[in-house]
Amino acid sequence: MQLRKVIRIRALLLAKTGLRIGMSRDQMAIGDLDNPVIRNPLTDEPYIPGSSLKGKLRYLLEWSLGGDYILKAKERHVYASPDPQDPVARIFGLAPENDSKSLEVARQRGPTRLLVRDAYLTPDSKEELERTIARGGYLTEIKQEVFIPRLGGNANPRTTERVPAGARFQVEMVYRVLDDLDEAYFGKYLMRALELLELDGLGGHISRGYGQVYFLHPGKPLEAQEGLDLKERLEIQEVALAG
Amino acid sequence: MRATAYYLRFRGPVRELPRATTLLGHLLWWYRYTHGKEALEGLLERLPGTGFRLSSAFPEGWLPRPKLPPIQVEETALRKRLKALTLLSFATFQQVAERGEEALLEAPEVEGKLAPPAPRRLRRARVGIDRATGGARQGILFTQDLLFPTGRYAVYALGEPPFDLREGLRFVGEMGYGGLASVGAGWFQVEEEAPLDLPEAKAPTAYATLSPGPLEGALFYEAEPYWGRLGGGYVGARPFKRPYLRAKEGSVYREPDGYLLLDVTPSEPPEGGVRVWEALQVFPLGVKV
Repeated sequence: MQLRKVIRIRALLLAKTGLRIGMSRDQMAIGDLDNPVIRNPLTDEPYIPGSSLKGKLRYLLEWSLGGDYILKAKERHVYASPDPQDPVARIFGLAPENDSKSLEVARQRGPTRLLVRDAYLTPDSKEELERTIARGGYLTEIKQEVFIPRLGGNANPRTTERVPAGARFQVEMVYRVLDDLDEAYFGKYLMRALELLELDGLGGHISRGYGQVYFLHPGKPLEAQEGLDLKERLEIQEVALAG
Repeated sequence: MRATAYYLRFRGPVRELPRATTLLGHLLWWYRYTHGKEALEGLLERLPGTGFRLSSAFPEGWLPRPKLPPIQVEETALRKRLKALTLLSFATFQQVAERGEEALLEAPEVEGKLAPPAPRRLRRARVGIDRATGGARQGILFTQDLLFPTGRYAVYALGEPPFDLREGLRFVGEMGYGGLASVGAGWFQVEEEAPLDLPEAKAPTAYATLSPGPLEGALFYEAEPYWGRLGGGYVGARPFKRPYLRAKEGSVYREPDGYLLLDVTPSEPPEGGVRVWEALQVFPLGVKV
């Protein structure tokens, strides 16, 4: 098994609607938001964890492939395929069970092919979002929502923090190519997962309009990219390796 | 001591800061993947004789405090400040190497005037998604601690590296160092490579190490039980190497050239005929004891 090349994907991720990736809190102060977004502890800027992006890509690809990925995942966290050529396990990785057969499959399958970085706000997007400070958030909007009891009674308000529509994040992924199959899977499955992400969404409350995202090429004018194929809106760079 | 410094800048969070043994493991997996298995086996045979040493990563301008005999201090507050010091600036390290721990009493670190950059911590919550419903799966909510380092970190090398070290480090940074690399952790860039004189005593009688070393030959040391995980293609179930004891960075040795290729193959090897090795090396900076 030898690493032939790595494929680097760079893009801007545009939040077409408000984007919310929540964080947990050890403690809560009086007057705090009910549902804060995750922030970089060094800069306090909201960001998209690589695990959120990668997990959603995996989930969407599994759903698009259907079958065992859904039916047999009921008992487990994810479906552990016994096939070393399984595209989901190859691309996204899979921790094998502790038995010799699973370990043999894991060895044939090799390492996780896809690495997804944390995505941080672009400098110009951060500058735009600084206007939100006047309205009480820091680079975010505070959205009030109300639960309405069906049989009357007082409305039950809650506050949710989200990154406003229009924010842009720098996305970077690395895909490792070890053999011909990896090469084929890149176009067939990873691209499909990225397309599905644009059709579905990222983060929480997608069914209520949050989290619609769109990829943009970082080196092309943003306004000219609407409607282009996904591949034309990604910066894809192949890096050959020694050996 | 003339060394080559490789300055790293983290582009995202990291589970743990790079340590020499694990970093060398990453580099050897890179070599294995790009040059092939036979080339790696040849490299492992040559490695002990090359004189090449790799350090753990430290904030730029800071080194681990040598584990020299402690001075007796009556005042409780001062004693606690001394005890809390883990990293020393180059200037303080030079003084301590020459004069021992007494030099710490005049150090700006102890007076609170100078401190190394400390990474911020974030506890990130993650959730398993139920494939059938798309919602959060019951019982799979978990948290992971991550470090967000600021500023530059330096890894030092002695001797002639047996491979293109900058290219190897660049690759390791691109692929991510340590745990959670596939979800963005451990991503760093190699910003610069430059020769550098590391501080040390002029007429040393012992040597402080900048990398985890073997217990054999250690004079003053802090022992660390270590139970590392298998890397590369062996990540997964039965992941642990055989546990062993080693000396932490800053430990002091009699001789400068300690090196041990330790067999840490688990009782059930990850693959038939495979041996797993841990390279424990003394990265020596002279001190007076």
